[in-house]
Amino acid sequence: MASTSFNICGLTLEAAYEKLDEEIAWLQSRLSSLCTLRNSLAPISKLPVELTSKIFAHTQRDGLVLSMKADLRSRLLISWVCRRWRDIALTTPNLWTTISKINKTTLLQSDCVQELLLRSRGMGLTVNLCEPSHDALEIFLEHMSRMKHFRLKYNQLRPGNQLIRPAPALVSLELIKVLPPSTLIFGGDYPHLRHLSLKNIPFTKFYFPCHLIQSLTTLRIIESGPVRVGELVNILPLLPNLLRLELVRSLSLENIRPPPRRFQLPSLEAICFIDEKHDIIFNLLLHCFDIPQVAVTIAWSARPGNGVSERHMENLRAKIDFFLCEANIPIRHLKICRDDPDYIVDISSSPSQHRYSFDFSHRLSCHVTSNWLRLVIPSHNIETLDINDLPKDTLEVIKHALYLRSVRTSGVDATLAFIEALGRVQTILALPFPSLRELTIHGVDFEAWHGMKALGGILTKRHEAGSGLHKLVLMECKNVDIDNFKNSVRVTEGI
Amino acid sequence: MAAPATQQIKIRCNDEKEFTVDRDVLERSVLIKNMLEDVTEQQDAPIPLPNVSGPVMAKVLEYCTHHRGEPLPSADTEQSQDETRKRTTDISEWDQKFITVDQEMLFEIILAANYLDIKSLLDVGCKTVANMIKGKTPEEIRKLFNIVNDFTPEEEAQIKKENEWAEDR
Repeated sequence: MASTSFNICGLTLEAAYEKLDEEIAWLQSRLSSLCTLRNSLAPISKLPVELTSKIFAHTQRDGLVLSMKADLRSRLLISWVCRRWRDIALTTPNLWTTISKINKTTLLQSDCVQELLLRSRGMGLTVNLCEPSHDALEIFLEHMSRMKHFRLKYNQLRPGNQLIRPAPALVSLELIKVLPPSTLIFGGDYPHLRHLSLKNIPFTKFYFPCHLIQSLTTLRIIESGPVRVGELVNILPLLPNLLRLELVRSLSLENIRPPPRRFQLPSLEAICFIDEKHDIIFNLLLHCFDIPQVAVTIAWSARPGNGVSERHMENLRAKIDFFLCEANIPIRHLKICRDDPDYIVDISSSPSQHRYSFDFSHRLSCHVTSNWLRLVIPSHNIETLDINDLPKDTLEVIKHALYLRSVRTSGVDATLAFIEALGRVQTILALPFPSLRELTIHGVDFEAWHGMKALGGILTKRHEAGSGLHKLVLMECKNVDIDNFKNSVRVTEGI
Repeated sequence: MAAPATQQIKIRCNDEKEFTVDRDVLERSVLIKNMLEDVTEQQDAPIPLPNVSGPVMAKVLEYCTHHRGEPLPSADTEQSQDETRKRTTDISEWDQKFITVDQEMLFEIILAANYLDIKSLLDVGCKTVANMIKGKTPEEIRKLFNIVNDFTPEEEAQIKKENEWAEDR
């Protein structure tokens, strides 16, 4: 054994300690080397560095929501297994590029932060800071040049501070409660910034240099009100690549003064309004923007008994109806939703029609079975209509169905209701349903109903006005006198 | 009419074990695919694979046969972090069963997949090892992979400091 051949006789105490310490260090070093040699025989050690590194990276990407320290620990412990693993971990920058959930109660020591930033070796960073100390924030701001995803909740910005430095790699930025006292948040260029989310930031005071963030595709403004619509109207057209706009409890209640012309937003694909006042929403869409193709989501998150009265819903229904009929916007998708699944029942009085969203093509085909029509269907876009047991007054709302080409009615009441609507000609130039070319009437005994002559007269008038039917189909009808339609020249088919 | 016969390719492993395999199965390996594309005339001589043994190749071929016809992953290996995150634990049931082998074979399969350039198999292997590591303490990991603590006292001191960084206080 080493101790038996080791002689400290004749040495002073100090010299003996020194010699022993040297010997211990040598033995420890030797022991460590032997252990390393032993480890090299382990099957996993056959894997080259790049594969081991790849495995380490996989251990971190499981999407688990961990506390900041747990997250850090899970990364650190790989480097605590053995020397080889430590060497590989420390030279795998991807392991260290995410620094998240740093807040006041779990402050990282600054040497730790510096070490993590060092280990990430210039790679793009993902950083999530929640009320960090000023010094901690400064450390990260020094690395803005390689920041890719940055989320910051912070309300201690000092006057004159420019929070965001030039960030050429920044892809997404989320700012919460960052209150700049009359100072710039932005500074520099952000050529790759795609997603910007602002929460609890007074938008009116927010300096928004749109020319620096023209690549923006998503803009979320959450509880950052009151956002003056006029300001929004000025900003949005300056973002030519904007695909999605989300507004959550942000718009001010001001009356909108319609701008001289509608602003073009050619790239916009989706607008999402959450808990915004419907008057503002509709006015914004009606008067301010020219949106070629857009998906609109309107949602109210109020729960039952939480300030959403039946009267409110009535008002809302009328507004939506007005909006859909009058707005010349080809809406592709309208979603009306609430947290409460009974919400739709409240506003429709139609328990059998629980539906949360309606997907409309620009020209839609629609099977109408209830007064849902009144609430949600943009009638001017309807191309085909199947009227079956439709309440009479509901037909009123389809009077703007300019593109209605084909109608199928079933039974006396529905047919009568439609014929009445069809015959409501104010002037020869204002025909209802000017595009109507096909009419199918199903299951009517014309003996019991004296409207056939009237129908014939209406169709003749329409023909004379240049809007004659191309096709009239009478299915399973009784006592049909085809002579009533002989003057409707374009009628080519009768059964 | 009979279907056209699939071309059969012969390969030889480092233990002289030979396999005759349908070309489309072998072409799951980018390495072999490139080799075959470089050869204009049909050769009878087996393709030598000096870095793979017969038993490992048999497993690799089992994988390639099961996944034959599936689209090969694109050459662009740069994935967004979100995509990778979604895929990390996403190992299909068949793949999981396939990769349930002893550690020595597991690492040999990973090495073979890397050498033969079969990205999907390499991913399955790496994810499997990653899943073995996740949630374990360093001591448990050492035990699992037959590793011992070989840190010097200086390194231990640094690790102790790092441990303090991650301690909840």
